[in-house]
Amino acid sequence: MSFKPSLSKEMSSELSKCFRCSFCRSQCPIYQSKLNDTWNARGRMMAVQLLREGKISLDDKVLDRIYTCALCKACEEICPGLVKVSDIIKEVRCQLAEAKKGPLPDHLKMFENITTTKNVLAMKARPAELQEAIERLPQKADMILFMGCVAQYVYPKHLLTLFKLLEQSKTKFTVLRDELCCGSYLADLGLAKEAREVLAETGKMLKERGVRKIVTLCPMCYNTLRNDLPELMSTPKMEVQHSTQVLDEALKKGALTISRALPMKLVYKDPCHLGRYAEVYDAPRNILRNVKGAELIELERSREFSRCCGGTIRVPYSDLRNDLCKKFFDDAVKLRVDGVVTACPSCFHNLYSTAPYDIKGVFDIVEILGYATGIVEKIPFYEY
Amino acid sequence: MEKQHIDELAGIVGPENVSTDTLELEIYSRDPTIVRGMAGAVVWPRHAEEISKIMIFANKTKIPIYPRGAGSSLSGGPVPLERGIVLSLERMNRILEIDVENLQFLAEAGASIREINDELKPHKLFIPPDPASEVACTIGGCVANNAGGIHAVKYGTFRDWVLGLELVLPNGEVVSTGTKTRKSVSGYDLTGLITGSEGTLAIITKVRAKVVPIPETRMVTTAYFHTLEEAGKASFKIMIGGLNPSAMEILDKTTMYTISQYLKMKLPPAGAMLIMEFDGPRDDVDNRMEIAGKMCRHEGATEVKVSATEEESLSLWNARKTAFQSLAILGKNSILIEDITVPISKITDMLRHIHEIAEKHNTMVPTFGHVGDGNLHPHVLYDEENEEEYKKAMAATDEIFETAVKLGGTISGEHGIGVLKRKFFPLEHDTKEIAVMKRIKQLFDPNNILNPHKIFPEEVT
Repeated sequence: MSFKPSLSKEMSSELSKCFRCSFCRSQCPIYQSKLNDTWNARGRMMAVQLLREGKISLDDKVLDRIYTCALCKACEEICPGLVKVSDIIKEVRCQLAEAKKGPLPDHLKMFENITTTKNVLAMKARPAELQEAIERLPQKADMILFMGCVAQYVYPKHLLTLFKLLEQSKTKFTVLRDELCCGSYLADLGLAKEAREVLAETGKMLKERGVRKIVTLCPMCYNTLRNDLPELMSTPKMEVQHSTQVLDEALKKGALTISRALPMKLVYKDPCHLGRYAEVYDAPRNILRNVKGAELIELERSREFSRCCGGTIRVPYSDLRNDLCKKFFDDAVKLRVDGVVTACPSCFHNLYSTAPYDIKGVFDIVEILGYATGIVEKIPFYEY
Repeated sequence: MEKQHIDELAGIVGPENVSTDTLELEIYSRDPTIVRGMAGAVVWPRHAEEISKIMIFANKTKIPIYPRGAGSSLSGGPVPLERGIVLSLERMNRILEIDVENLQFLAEAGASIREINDELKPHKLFIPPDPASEVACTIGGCVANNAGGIHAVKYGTFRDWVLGLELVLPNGEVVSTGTKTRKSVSGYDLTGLITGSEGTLAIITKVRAKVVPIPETRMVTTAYFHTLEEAGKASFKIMIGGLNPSAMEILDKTTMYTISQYLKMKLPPAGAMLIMEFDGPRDDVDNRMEIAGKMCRHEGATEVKVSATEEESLSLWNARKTAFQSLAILGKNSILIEDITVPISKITDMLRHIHEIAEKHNTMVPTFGHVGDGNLHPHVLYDEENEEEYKKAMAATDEIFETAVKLGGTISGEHGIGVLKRKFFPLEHDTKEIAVMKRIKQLFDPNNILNPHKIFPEEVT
């Protein structure tokens, strides 16, 4: 199949900065799973260049290399040339989409889901428990808690606990009852136009409702609302925070107090979109350090070098996702930790779905804080 | 490559471990250098026995084999110059043994230095030579190229640390060399012969090497000078003064500028700087740093800064480590990285000559490197599309090599000859010496199927 990406001037210059040093092999999670350089960031960059030069043609193999990049940015942390690998991959995906040569059929289903159900998971209705709690929230508030697809439809308990934590800390908030997917997945898949359309709808809602502040549970929503929305449309000034930042502040101000001990050896898994994308490394750690009895352990690969869970490529590459999670757990098991904590519903889903028996529990950080503050009696999915 | 050959390879390593797809062939045919080639197949063996069978196959078919680790070579060493088989060792990456009691490890060739160091860290041990690419480069590649790095000034290169190897010879024999002991005078030093042979004599499949305890402290002193020569002289004085720094790096004015721009950090105005590291017990380190500081001032240093904490030291190293990538600020898209090395008494001469050569050819040659052991990295910059610049860059490069050899130095301190430096090889080695080397090659590899056309100039091959 003939396909020659014509990169923008900026991305061409980014691509030319890759001098094939291969440092990325030390970080790229997909390379470490496959042990084949064509799956490494270097290989992907070379593949893009080879496509441009017409030296390779677009086939399933090349498409795989383009769509298995988890956009985790781990390679960018080590890259001596500071190549914006994920931006290049995203631009190539956009061009594939424009040329109707991508994304993959499973990816297109995600877009279809959003159009029909407003969420990427094609869920028809929110779980009753969450819906009831939403009904109890005020109609209007300066602050919106943007719930995100995965938490709303798969892990509503995380949201319910976050509601309680915010209420406890006297934070006035509501949600968008007609919340729509932020479109982050679509943008990552190169469906730029579709992603913009979806995000514009959210932007319109936020504008109409005079929202001044947005808090998100999902790091992907966080980046989309914080970075992409202001680029897309002019809105009144809106502060965007991740829930860990809000909760960290609440603890510091004494608006939340720890009342219960959790004697566990915990490791914090930095979500790529909260860590490398947004450099929010300390807020979640501060929260965990506040929890009495909990011992926070750092993995050899943490913070900017944290391993990716493969959430962005789970569809359709679930085998790769499994392997990426396995590598993360191998590190954690080596340190004999009791539990893994994360601050991203997608990371939670991937880790929870693949956790080995050696790990006693996988937690979202709000659940840990909910338990430690005495707001919830037990941590969901974990019989403490 | 013929189908029957591919089938035979697939029979040896399994179809999932061989590829003839253009994507793999293209990607496995390059390293970071400008050297180009094109493989006919890529194989990923998992055991020495598989490599043995591949070598027997290669001898039978006369298809050349190109061993490859991380593909991070700076010499074109792993590039398949003929349509042969790239033999990637990346799937042979197990760390087999950490022998804490005997301060050594055993690893398969494809394990990276970083991976091995990560395993050594809990035992407070480390591999002393640290090539700049340690995150990526493999132990097999490091031994094959006798790699060095910033700590070579104190700890030497891989040759000083390798105890033994498992090898597959071109005829397919699997041979173990060396011992577990720290010394041995038992027969010819085959381990030493293979170390630095750039994958032309045998394929390294396992490496046993010594390690040392992580020093109690590592501290950094920086000194700023008016000129590069002054800095070079101070470095020389510190070296012969027996202060035993664990690193002694020089940065010229251009590199200081690019680093300060790149990291948005302020460096004092100066013509050159030295970054010195001392390791060991804290008191001893402090003492040596103070003496080194005095020596620098005596040689004309305008400013000497002693880092107060290890964190501060680390941030200085991080600055040094960005030297190469910071050169991108100069806006040239191509770079020739040299690793000439001269006797330490000639370091100031060499630095002066590099400056003169750059001026003469009107070429940018930012220079930094491991001045303490005489190993410099002049980076000749040019734009690939600009033919005139390319010619000038080549002329400057030729002259840099000639000068290094004239000063009693070598054309490669740590990167190897590979393809890029083949033509300069006779500058350093006379025909008789080359003839001995070629007889050794002939003995190991009579059919010239293992990484052919590397090291030796083409006309000699």
